[in-house]
Amino acid sequence: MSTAPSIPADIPQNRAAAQALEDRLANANPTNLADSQTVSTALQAVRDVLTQLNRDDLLSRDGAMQDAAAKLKGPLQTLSGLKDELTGISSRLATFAGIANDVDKVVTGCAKFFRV
Amino acid sequence: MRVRYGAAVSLLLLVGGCSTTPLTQRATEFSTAATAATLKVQNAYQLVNASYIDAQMASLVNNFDTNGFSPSQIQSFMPSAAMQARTQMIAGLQQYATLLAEVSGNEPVTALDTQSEALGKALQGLSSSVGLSSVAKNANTDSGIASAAVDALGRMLIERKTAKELPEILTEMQKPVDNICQLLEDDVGTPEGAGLRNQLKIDYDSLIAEQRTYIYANEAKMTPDERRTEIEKLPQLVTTEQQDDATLAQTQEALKALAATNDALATTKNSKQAPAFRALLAELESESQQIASVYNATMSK
Repeated sequence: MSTAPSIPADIPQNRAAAQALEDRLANANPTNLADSQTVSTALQAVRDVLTQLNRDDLLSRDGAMQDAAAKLKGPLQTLSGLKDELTGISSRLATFAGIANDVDKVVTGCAKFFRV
Repeated sequence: MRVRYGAAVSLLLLVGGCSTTPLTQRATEFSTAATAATLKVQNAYQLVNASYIDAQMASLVNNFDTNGFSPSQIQSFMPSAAMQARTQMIAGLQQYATLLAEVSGNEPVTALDTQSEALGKALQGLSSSVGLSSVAKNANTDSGIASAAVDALGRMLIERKTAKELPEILTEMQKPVDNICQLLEDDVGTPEGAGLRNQLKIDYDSLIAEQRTYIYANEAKMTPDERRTEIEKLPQLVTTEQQDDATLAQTQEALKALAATNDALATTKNSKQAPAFRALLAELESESQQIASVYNATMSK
């Protein structure tokens, strides 16, 4: 009989951190191509994270976590890579103040949780 | 001759009247409304799968020059095992509604038997499968409750039932139907939480961001009219998201109404009048009709 892994207590915090970052990115209003591309790419990455968390809700424990971990690696790397650019945009977009901290929360939280 | 014909009609009406009790009449009406409602629930998953694929398309268009295209980039939101579990549960609810109508019709249910039996067995298989545990987990419901609900529904569809067993069927199926509706309702979730409504929100946020990037990337090559058309898509996306989310919320309401009406039907076994049931039935019919019109409009886009 297989034993299901214990449910980590920090799923809600990871989801909340990812959702908060998603909300900030979705509400940003970049006014030039470079900023818009950066925001789109970051939004796509955080959407991938949230999609995986939504899917994880739909999947069984068995096997799902390994699958989720593999699929999260790319988006989390993308978000890490965009941190400096997003910080750069924050000088033009007031709503982006402290965005690097929000990116860190999602990246470190999910990386720790999914061991990626 | 005319008198004899009239007498025959009266006799038929009398016989028909004897076989249609208030409960069987109500069960038939519930069956019609429940079938309409469950047919629409499946659309909720299709709606979110469509928005998920649209968001992937928008990203593909903007990033084609750098990323190219690989078929693996385009995926469904719902994993197939998870979707199959839901499809079977929804089909089970539909078949339960059909069973009530057949049983209430006081006719042998032979035509229904084969289909019911097959689906019943599939549901019993589902009750112990990985797919169901995933549904239960999503709904934060104890997997034992989900399993028992699906197993009970499967068993009911396999057993041969007759009209006199209708009150018993209703009592037995009250809790399983409540639990299955709750599982599906929780699947729909909330925009800020998890589930289909959250997925819809983040898909549209991406669609809007990608559309804005598309405009900035191409505006120099656009005519004023083309630019206007592309800019106008931004508020259209916002409106469509709001409409789709309202539809998902209405699907949750329909599932609530379905469970409540089934409960009310079970409590009216010995009643001639059933005003509370009538009110809930009207609500279920109204929810189903509203969802139907919105889904028809959405799916034909």
